Amino acid sequence: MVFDILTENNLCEYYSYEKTPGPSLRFVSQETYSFLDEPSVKKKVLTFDSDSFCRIQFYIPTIHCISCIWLLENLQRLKKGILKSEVNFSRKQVTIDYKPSENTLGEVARMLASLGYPPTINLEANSPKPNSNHSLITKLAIAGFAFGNIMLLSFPEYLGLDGSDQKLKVLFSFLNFGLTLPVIIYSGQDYFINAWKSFKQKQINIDVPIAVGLATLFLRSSYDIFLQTGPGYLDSFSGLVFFLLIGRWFQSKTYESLAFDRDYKSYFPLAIQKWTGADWLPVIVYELNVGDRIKVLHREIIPSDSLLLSDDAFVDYSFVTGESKPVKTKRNDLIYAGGRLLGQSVEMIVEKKTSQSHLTSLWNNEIFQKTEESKHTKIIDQAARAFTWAVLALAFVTAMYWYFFNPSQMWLVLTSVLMVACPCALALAAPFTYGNMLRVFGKNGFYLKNADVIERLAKIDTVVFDKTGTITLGASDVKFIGILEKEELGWVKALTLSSSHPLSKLISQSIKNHTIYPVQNYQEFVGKGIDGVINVHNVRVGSPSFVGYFGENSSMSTRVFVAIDQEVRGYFQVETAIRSNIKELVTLLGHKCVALLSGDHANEEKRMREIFPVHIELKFDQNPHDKMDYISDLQKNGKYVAMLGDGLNDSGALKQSQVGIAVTDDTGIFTPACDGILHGSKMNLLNSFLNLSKSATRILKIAFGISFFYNIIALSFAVTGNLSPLVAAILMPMSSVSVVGFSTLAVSWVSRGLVHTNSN
Amino acid sequence: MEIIILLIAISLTIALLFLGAFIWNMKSGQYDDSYGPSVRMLFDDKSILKKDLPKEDPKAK
Repeated sequence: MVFDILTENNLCEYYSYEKTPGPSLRFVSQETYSFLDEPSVKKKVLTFDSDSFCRIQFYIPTIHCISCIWLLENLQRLKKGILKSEVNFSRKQVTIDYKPSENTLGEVARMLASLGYPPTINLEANSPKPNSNHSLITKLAIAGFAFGNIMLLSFPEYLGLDGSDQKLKVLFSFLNFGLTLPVIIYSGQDYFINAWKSFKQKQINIDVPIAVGLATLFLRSSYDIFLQTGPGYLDSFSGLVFFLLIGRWFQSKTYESLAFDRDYKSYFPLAIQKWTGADWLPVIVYELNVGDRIKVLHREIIPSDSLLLSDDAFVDYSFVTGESKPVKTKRNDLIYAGGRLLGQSVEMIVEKKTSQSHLTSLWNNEIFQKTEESKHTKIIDQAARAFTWAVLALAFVTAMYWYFFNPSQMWLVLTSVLMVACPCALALAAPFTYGNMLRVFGKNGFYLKNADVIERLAKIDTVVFDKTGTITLGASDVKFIGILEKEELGWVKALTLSSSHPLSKLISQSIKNHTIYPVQNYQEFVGKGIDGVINVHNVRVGSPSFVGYFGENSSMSTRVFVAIDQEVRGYFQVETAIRSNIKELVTLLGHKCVALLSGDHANEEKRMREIFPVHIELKFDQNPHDKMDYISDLQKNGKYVAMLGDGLNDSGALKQSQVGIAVTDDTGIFTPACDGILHGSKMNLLNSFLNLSKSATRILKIAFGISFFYNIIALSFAVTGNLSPLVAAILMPMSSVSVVGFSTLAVSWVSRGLVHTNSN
Repeated sequence: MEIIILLIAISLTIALLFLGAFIWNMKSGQYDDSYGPSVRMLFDDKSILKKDLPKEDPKAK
């Protein structure tokens, strides 16, 4: 128990920081995480390794409150040999320094897991990533520094220096030039690189006109400064880069909280126990060969298709088929990869290598290789394309005009046009509108992968649901039918607590009784039930034949029978509970909602019909491929489909759909491959989210309009040859500020309603 | 007016020092976790001894 460990070490303060600290304690066996002690694995995950001191960085998705930080930073009081631990809350990471002479890495990981903070270990996740955020902020800081100083040095020019200050004028403009160099070389480099990339791919995105504008601004200013024909537009230039980088920084801030870079491989076990002829040793799953004998433990995922060597095993295939009930397999049966073992550990012989097996082949489907970008043209890119061509046409026409009427002014006017056409405000509109909308969604329990998802959400006209975990809750509704005294219920709880079978767990959770009875002679009969002696009474829980019940039992729902002293007392009826807010959502969605796809049998059709009106198709016994095909059929009919599912078993469908939303009750732990995560309790808001996405797209278009409006004003100065540095210095920041202000205010205005319905 | 040149040189140097300090702070990781330090300073070192605790705790897991 977490509590016991804490009291033993005088760490009870833990509970005083937060009312509901920490997730509950999990069972951690000796073998779990032992693969971390393999030198090859260890080398990959440690950030620092020496004989007297090691440093490891763990990603722990369950970090969520002050108490978590407090507990994890007091690890040195819980275990000898740990020198220091430090939590990075926003990244959900903990860095631990320990002495390898007193602890192995596996022990450290096991201790974290036993406290309820199981670290997620994934070779890909542990590879160090370059910190892009640092370089972005450095760029931003340099651009801001240059912008401020250049503005200051430009003021005397605007306010009017007389001829006697010519020397100062020259000095100031050269200082400005010097300050601009780091901005164009370092801060603005991404725009030139991106523009060049998209140019090579023969596509025009927003970075192309920006790069053209920036380059013209810089070259024209340099020309003016070196030939001393004018002060240059360097304040506008550095201001533009500064504002553009602020937009980027805002965007990265918005995404920071959403770590979406995990894929299905993070569900795969990293290592597995392999029989080497003398001993069980952990090996990395990709090194498994056909014919290897492996041992799989309780709750581990089976890494490859294998033949069962033990007598029998319960496998939960919900990741693969969607069927929530565990499947019983017997000796010599083939067990498919992706199933999760429940109960006793079993031994098996590998039949196929991990890379070719069942689950991987499903995941290697072409759908997963297809990039999202290719099937959807972003609004911003459409606008940028139209904008670029319009500006080029305008620049050409203006140049022609001046060529015939006043050739000496031609280059001046042409560069002015290209300069003010720089769509800085246009580039800011999207990150701020969508970024603010993402924050609003996040506050309401809806986390999207990125801003493009909002654009796709706005077009959704069809919604498809998965059943298990989406419509029904993962936890089930357990009712006892029969006669049991309160004390006897406590006995049942004590007995079921000892078992790790999912049904036992559900039953022990449903009994609210805190007295703990000791269980004697506990025995588990796999596939039948459990048996034990409590307070001199024999208690049996399990299947009808196991407890000695031979009466009528025709119900479709799962029943677990109870007998005390060989006398049948009744049964627990385990039913999956339907989320309370589904009906409201279905009504709100109306004809947008078209189908329910379920991997389960049709025995719940009647219950589902009560929620879903007749126009909605109910399909049962669907495997992941069926679900995917159903969605691609809808798409062939020109529908824009959003799929709501719960996890890996419908990830194919989630990916196939335009927007795949995973419904979950624990956002910290569950992040499958999808476009967004919706908190289960907020499902009724889905329709509001769809409407808000439409509003966001509308706001973005209006922001584009505002930005164009400023561009037209600036262009009217430019084409007539009247663009002075002062006009540019006023117009350019003003357009950026008003676009950002408008989109921020508009988003908070349209989302007022959401906050309102939420509080009701 | 020559004094202005000196002043500008001084102000730019100071501004550059601040810029350098900011970049240094960031590289050393001061801005990486904006939430942790705000609560960490609230933790104090007091510890409750085991015997002072109630025997049964409803929060026990």
